[in-house]
Amino acid sequence: MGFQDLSIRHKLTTIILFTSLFVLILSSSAFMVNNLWVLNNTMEKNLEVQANIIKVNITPFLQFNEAEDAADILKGLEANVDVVLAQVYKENHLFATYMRKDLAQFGLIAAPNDYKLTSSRQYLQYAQPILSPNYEELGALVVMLDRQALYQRIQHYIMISLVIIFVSGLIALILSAYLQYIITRPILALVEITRQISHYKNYSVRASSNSKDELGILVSGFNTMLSAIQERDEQLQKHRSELEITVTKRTQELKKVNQQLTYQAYHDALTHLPNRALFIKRTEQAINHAQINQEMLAILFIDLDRFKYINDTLGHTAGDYLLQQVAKRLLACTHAPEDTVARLGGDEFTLLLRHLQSPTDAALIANKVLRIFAKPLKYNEHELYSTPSIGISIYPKDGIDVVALMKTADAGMYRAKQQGRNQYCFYTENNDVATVSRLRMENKLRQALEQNEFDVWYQPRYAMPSHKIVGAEALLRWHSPELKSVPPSEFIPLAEDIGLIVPLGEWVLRRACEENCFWRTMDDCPPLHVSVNLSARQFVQEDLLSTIANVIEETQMNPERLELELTESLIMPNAEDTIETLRGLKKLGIQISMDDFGTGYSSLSYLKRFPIDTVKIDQSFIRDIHEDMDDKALVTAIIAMAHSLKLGVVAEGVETTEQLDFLNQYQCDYVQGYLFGRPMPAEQFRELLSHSAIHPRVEFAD
Amino acid sequence: MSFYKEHFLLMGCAIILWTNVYASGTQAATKSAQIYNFAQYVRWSKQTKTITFCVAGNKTVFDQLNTRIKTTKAIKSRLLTVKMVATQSQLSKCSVLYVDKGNALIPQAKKLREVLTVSNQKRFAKDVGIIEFIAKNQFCINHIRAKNQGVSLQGKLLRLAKECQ
Repeated sequence: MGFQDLSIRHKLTTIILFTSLFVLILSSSAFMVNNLWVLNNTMEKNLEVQANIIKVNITPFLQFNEAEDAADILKGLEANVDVVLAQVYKENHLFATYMRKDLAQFGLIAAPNDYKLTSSRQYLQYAQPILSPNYEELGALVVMLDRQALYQRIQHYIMISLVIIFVSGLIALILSAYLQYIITRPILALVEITRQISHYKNYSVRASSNSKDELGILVSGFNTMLSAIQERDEQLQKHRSELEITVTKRTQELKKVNQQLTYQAYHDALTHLPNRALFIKRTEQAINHAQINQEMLAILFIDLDRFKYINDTLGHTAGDYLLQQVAKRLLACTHAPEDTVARLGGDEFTLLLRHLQSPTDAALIANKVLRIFAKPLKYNEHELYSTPSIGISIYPKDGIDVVALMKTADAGMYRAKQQGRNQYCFYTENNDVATVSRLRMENKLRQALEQNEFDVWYQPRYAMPSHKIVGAEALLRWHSPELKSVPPSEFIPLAEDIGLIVPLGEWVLRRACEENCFWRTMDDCPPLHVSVNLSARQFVQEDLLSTIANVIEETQMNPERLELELTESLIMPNAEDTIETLRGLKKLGIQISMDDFGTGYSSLSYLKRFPIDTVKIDQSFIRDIHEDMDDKALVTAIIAMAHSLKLGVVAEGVETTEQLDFLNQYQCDYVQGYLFGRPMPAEQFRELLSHSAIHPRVEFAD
Repeated sequence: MSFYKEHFLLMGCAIILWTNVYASGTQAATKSAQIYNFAQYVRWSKQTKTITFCVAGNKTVFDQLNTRIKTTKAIKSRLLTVKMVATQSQLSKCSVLYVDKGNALIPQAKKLREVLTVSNQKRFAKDVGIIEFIAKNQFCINHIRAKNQGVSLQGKLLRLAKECQ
């Protein structure tokens, strides 16, 4: 246990005690040394004085040889017990002597004629010459003192000093104890108060002190600190109470939110039907139950036909309304609560049918669904028709777990779509092939854009009757390393289904614009248009105008040279919104043409209202123009009508000179087709342009 | 036999004679030493520049003193001289006068002033002089006469002196 570990009271006691003892020892030692020095000096002086007195008195006796008298003089030294020996020498012979009685024999510590003060440990010897009044040396006087007295005095002093030190130490101990009591009492009181406060957490306690010294200041500071702590504690208690209330409130809110989140986690926000997770959960439970009770289950996988079209053309609001109504109808077809209707996402719904006697029960429900969907849904002034394609899988025949049953039901649904939609199909093993093929292509398609597997080809368009090249239609081609060249009729609907058509369309537009800008740089190249197809999904994108404007700006494209081709099925259903978008495109300076004209609704009144520049007659009418009188009449009517509306006319799919002659006869403005040139890669089209510059009129292929 | 007796007697006489002579010489030496010491314990006046030892009736003492003052030429810065005196007129210059026993100048001692008179004559101190040798190394002093004759003696000398009979 070191000094640092001692309490303050013990430290104070120790410090005071040791300081006092140190000072006492130091002062006592100094006093003792001084006294001894004085004593020693006094002893030496006394010896000298006594020797001188003896010498003066003894001189005549020595001079007149009175040895006895001289001895009597020496005997006078008896009074001084410290004198042990006194001798008078005359002519080196002992003349008179005195020796203390208690000594039998004694010797000098120096020669009698060694006239000085000589000292040994025990004796002090002083020798002096004895001179006659005429200063003649008569002899020598030697006096010796016993220093025992000095040592006894030293012992005496030491004893006294020790007693003083002991008594002083005792007094210092008592005083320091009292002093430490005075100093540490308020500190210990503070410690006790601190202990009470920390134990009982009572911050209203205060320390008391009447002193105005440092301890008084400490107590005052301590009390001030306690006041601050008390105030803070009160605030803390208040805040704690408020916090508890807040926490309780928040906990309730969180509980509520948690319930909401749990509900949202397992339900579709739009239709309030169970979502995929809950459907899977319930299906697992149903499978377990069916497994135990050897029951039959069915999963109906329903995909809405034409939903994307309605959603894209009439907008999301119409789509959402449709989904909500579909949910209601599906619920009406099932037996709650044992059956489950769920929305997996998008336009996909599933039905879990339990307690089936046979697959026919599932077919009955599927028929019921088909019947109920046959009734159109009223949405504003529109009547929405959406038919379902239903795939059915049966437990345990088609699968014994959720994943297998969902997969087989999905395959059945695709089979239903392939077979013409608006019907149901039970899963058969053949379904798997088609489904896998579709999934495979879907995956490849998603990767194709990133892996640069797409290309833009250009099919030239010629003016009539000059047969001069005026532009080209940009056509998307997909050269998959694994699937080889995939026809656009296969991958473009798929791209629309999975939403890839939006970025893909923008990519085609950009490439076409860049290529057109390149054409402008070619020598002797006439100003050419480039036309790009716009899908329905692209057309309803809110940022369509800004996207196109950005592409034009970034590629430095002349917007007047850009033609966007829209199908009439795309623009007809939602005419007002379409007009707004078309006006926006026109403001950008873009040409607009109506593709596949004649195949859709072909509302001629819309043509007048829409800001369209050109109509493109579908190739199906051109193909049989010499054999089918209806097609001939339709084509001539379209040309006449378009001209009357001051619209340009493009005939697609011109493959023979007869077709060309016919179109020329009825003053069709532009033609494109295999007769003039098939779609070709950009490099080949550039070569074609170079050739056209030299030979403006086209040489028909055989 | 008579030859040995004669020789023995002669030798005995010679020894006695030598012994007397030797004793006489020793006594003279002692006396001269003491006379010299007496002079050291006299408070001489300032006018006294020379201390003259006068010896009457003892040539040996004179010789001894003469020998001593050859080595010790002064007492307290006063020069020392020694002379033999035989007449009263010679006494005027004496500082210390030693008159041997039976000498005719003994009565003159009573008349002298500021002269320390010394003698081995019995009753000398009592009757005429100041210091009298009364035995070997012993002397007595007539302190009253010394004061009366103007001779100031130190107390140390007085403490050594015996009482005069």
